[in-house]
Amino acid sequence: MGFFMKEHDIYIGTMLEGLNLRFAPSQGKDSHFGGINEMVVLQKEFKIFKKGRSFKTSCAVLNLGPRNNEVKTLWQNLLGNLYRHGSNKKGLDGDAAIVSAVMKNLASEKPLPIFFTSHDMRGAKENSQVKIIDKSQPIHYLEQDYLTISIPMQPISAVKKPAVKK
Amino acid sequence: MNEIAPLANEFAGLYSDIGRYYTEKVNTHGATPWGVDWPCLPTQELRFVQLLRLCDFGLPLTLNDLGCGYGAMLAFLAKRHKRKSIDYLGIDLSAAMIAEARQLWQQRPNTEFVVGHASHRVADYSLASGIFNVKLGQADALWTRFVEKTLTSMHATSRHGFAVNFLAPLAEGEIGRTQLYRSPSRVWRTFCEKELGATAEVLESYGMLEYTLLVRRG
Repeated sequence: MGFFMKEHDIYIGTMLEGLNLRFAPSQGKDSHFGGINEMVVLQKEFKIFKKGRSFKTSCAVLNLGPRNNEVKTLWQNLLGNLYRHGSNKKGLDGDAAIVSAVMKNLASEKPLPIFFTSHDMRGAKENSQVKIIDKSQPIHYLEQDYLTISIPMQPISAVKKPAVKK
Repeated sequence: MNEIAPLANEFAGLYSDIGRYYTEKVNTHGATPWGVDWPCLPTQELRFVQLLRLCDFGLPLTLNDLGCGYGAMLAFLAKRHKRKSIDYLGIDLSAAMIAEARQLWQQRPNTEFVVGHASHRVADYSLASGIFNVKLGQADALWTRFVEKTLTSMHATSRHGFAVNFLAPLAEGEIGRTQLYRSPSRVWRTFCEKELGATAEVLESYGMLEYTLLVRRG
């Protein structure tokens, strides 16, 4: 079971999927949007993502998360812990790196859809970082450029220290 | 508080179904965006931004809010148009929704909430957000007549104009929820211009799969 989500870790995929749908490529016709285009307009109008506001808070504003209160609390704990991680963006912790990348992307001339995923934080030290890839095609069946944000995660057993033998 | 006259027969079942639907929503989620079937506050308020483009806030104004829910528009007006004098009437089919609204806004002056399907007064402007979206199992022909009747009523009770929003048709080949009503903007723009003799402006580039119709008296 996951460290933050405990027995509710089965919902992590669903929550990442929720993020991926809200930041998805637009499916509509030229004059009707949704997905990333909706996020661009919301950001312009309400400045939802901003420096000094955590990613966790912005997700809460957007109701991005589970409806079940217990799962919601655990998911928010997970997001709220991202500032403790480093990132592959120089000088930024994990949370600030996500917020900065989302803001920059939404304000850009051609905003990309955002793909949220996770990676195993065990092993090499840099695995514990939030990883941001500015432009790639992370979904093999979509010929679509994305901004990719990968959150480090690990199973609870990786955190539990073995008992000291006397 | 005044209550609206008995419902017109043709639409009695429709009003009852829609009222029940939103009563269940507010009973489950309370006075929140989910309680009025919107995904989040920013998308709810982005719709208000579009609808309120109709209004001239330079003078005190009267406003009818049809399908007002728990009165979320008042919270938005308090943020965006803080010092403006706005006399507000909220109307909703759901008595539970109106009870929430009255509880929330009991201290606000010049504010009234009534259960019903139309306004009992003429205001400067009438607004309606999302009231044509969820048609549930209603027949398309009946829903079309309901939209016509509602637009006509909003026009009759608006001194300067009214604003409404609609879901836009999906891309070709895409299949959506059949309980939702979608229509091309030209249908209702034409209706407002030809049948109501008004000037209609379509707003559609605000990032959502929908459009807003601003209808001004000619």
